[in-house]
Amino acid sequence: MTEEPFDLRLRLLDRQVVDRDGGLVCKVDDVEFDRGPDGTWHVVALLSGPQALGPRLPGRLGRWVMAVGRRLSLHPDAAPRRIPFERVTDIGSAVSVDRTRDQLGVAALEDWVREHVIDPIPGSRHESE
Amino acid sequence: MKRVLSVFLGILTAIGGFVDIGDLVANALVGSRFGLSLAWATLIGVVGICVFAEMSGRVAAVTGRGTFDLIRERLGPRVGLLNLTASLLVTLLTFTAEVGGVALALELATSVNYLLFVPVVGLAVWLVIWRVKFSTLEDVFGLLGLALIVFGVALWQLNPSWGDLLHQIAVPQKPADEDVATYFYYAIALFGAAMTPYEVFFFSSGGVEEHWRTKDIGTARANVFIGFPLGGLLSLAIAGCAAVVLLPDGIQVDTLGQVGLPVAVALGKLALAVAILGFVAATFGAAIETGLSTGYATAQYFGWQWGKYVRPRQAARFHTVVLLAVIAAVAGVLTTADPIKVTEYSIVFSAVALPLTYFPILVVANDPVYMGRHVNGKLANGLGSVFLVVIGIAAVAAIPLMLITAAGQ
Amino acid sequence: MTRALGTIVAAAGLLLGGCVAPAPSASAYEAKAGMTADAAVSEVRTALVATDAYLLGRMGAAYLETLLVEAEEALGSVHDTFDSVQPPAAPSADSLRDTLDPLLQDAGSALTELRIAARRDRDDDLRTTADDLTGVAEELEAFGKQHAS
Repeated sequence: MTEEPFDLRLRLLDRQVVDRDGGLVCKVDDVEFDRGPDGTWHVVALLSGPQALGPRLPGRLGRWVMAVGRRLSLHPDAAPRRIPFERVTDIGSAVSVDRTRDQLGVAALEDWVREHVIDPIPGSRHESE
Repeated sequence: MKRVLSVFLGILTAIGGFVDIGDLVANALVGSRFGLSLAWATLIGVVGICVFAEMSGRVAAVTGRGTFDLIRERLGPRVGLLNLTASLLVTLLTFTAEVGGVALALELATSVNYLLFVPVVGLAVWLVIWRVKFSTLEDVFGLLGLALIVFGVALWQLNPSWGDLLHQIAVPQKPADEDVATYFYYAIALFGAAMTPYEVFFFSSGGVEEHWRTKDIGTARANVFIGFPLGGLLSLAIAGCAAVVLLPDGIQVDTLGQVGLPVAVALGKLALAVAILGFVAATFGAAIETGLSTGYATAQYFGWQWGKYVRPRQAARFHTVVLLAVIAAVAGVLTTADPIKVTEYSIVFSAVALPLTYFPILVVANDPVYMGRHVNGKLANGLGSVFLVVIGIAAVAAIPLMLITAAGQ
Repeated sequence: MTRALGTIVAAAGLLLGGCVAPAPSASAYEAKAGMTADAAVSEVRTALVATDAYLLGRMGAAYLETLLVEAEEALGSVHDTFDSVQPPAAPSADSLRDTLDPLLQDAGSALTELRIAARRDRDDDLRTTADDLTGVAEELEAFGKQHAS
């Protein structure tokens, strides 16, 4: 483990999260901390979605984004989508995780749009020719 | 041998794909009113797009990521969102102009009112984006766009005084019957036409679509440094034709038909048909590029899966954004706003948005953490910085000049 | 921020408002007349060059028709805009109108006839109308030069 300070803002926040197969998952919209038994703060999860990004955008825009997120959310709670930090395998120019997109379950909007908008259109399962 | 052919194809595609409705309208309009005394603005614009396209292509090859992805990482979500909003608005406006352009070109071929073509064009654009492979659509429309070489042939056939034309380019003089504000307004319009924001996202995202690696940087550079300037030469040929045929008769270009008129005068029916083919290819190709760019920019900002290199259902939000953009563009043209006027506004607003879209590319291309040893050298940085100043001035002056000259009247 | 924006919008409104207000002075009206003549010359000459190219077999019928329809509409719009401008109360303004309006009228009807002849494939009508229109174009051009701003 390196002793150099790791700048979260520069090297973790707003990074692309990439899944086990190289597919694009989401951005690290925010980071969740928790206090360990010895009192130090640790990163415990990556957060994504409008509820995570909203607070980082200024003023009314941020509140609007969060409201949109709550409206579009298919989950009963209003919490942002969460990837536990244990899933992270590497932090380079992107953040790699050890599951596939579908297993992570962070993209409810993608699933909804896929099901209701894209799948009905013929050719959605085929590669382009 | 195969590699040489592929590089050659790439260059040809870059030449044919360079011109879009903005270049067609701006260069013909300027040629018909100012002769070649604003050629310097086109030339500077071409150099500018070369510098920034090379940077964004290199970024894609080295990092395997698109521009917007990295803009948000490097500059934060707020600046990234501002950038995204401005770029999306301008790109949507340009998309509308391109769809209008395709419809106008089809009207010239058939004399059927352009509005009737618009929904068909929208559907066709969406279908091509949905089904056709990325490299195929690049190659097909790029090569078909080479039909615009007919303007170079027409200029040759018109046998103008080449010395006089070169003099107009080298020693620019504002014509007596136009005023200074209008002259510089059109200079800015020509910048905006040559250095459209969408071109840069498209080029970098396209690099990711085609799985460029560092070994492809050379090919990308050949495309940019040979292809784009030759494409710029096509723009100058269009301006030259207008200057030689339309300017002496006092014809000021405000329709697509007038853009092609010199080709008819110089070469006749067959060449005119080739020119129309060139119009359709250039505008349709650009419509696809702008449509895809709305998807690229949005998806890359939010971290969604994007691209044609995966099956559509794996990039559902990306394809939905593109579909919405197509609907918006079609609706925009169906408002019956004059597509030529829409084009003029799109290039002026492109000029306004340029610093916002180009500055982050310079920042990312300069960052050794992303670029490793492929980071910007002194030349790229020098040119990039100079251009940022130039487009900064143009961006600030654009709206006031537009108001003062009543959009170039 | 919103204050500055408001000032800019107000200034823009004033500038743009100046474009549609009635011509306040005789010289401004003259300049407007000159510009109108120039715009008319552009549409008329477009039609003439296109008709000429068509008659020489250098242009197809569909292209010609599209160009003629566009030129006719544009000229109509230019004429309407000029007529909607309130002339200042000066005899010079009235004489400008009396010279320009008939020219615009002639140009407009000639373009309509060209469009009709093109759609009916009447090449002879095209020729004769184009010949008449050439004279109108020259008069408009002279007017534009004479009253240039």
